[in-house]
Amino acid sequence: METTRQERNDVVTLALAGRLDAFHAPELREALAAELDDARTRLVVDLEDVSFVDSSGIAALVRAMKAARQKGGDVRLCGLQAPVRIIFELTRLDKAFEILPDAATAEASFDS
Amino acid sequence: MPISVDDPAEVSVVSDSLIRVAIPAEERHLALIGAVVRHFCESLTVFGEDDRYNLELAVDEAVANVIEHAYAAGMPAEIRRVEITLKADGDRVTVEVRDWGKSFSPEAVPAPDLDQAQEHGYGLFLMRSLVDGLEFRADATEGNTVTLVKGYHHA
Repeated sequence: METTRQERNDVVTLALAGRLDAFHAPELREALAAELDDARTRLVVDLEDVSFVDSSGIAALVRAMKAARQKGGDVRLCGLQAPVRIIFELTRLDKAFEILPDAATAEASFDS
Repeated sequence: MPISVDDPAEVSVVSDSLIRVAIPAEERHLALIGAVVRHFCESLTVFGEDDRYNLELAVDEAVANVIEHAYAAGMPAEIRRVEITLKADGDRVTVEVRDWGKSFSPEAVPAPDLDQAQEHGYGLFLMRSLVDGLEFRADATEGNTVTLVKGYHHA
């Protein structure tokens, strides 16, 4: 799974590409933990190029989201493909996470 | 650990309606399992995209669960394997996930509280929600088998 990192206006966006499954979830978990350790608490995970997310991927996202919120920040998601969105709705995580259509909107959402 | 000739991942296309996959119990093979499930479903033209995706995810969860829990670290490679069988029969696809390690007790897993985001507990919930039939069997000689059944949903 490829991860591309961008930092704009004090928000870090990690754009992922590929499968966010039990094999790749640890990479994401570590990447998000490293950002939080670095006091980067305003984080966006862009899933536009992620075709598949399983419960390990979800766990990595939830873990980081909770840790970020404890520090006054957040992990927001964007670009969910339709089948991934459905899984978030099934687990009601679409209510737990701020989910935006794209990275620009997600980054801007931290301003309000 | 690199894939070696002694520990291969193998796919056998036995017929149009039967595929067997045997993998070492390692997460890096989940992508192969997903590809085989997708390919198998795509060849069954009445199986819609949503059903295909849901089955792929349910199977991924079942296999990932086995990989994570069935075998203690340090067990030899020839034992630490998972076999997946995909069968098409009439109006349904049946997938069996078999291992020879520690059996899994689904009744011991609490259902997730969907009103709260949590890290754990979604795997079994997703398996149950995404397929029409789910069974767990543990047998001393046959090993542990998770059977997932997904019927065709005609649009």
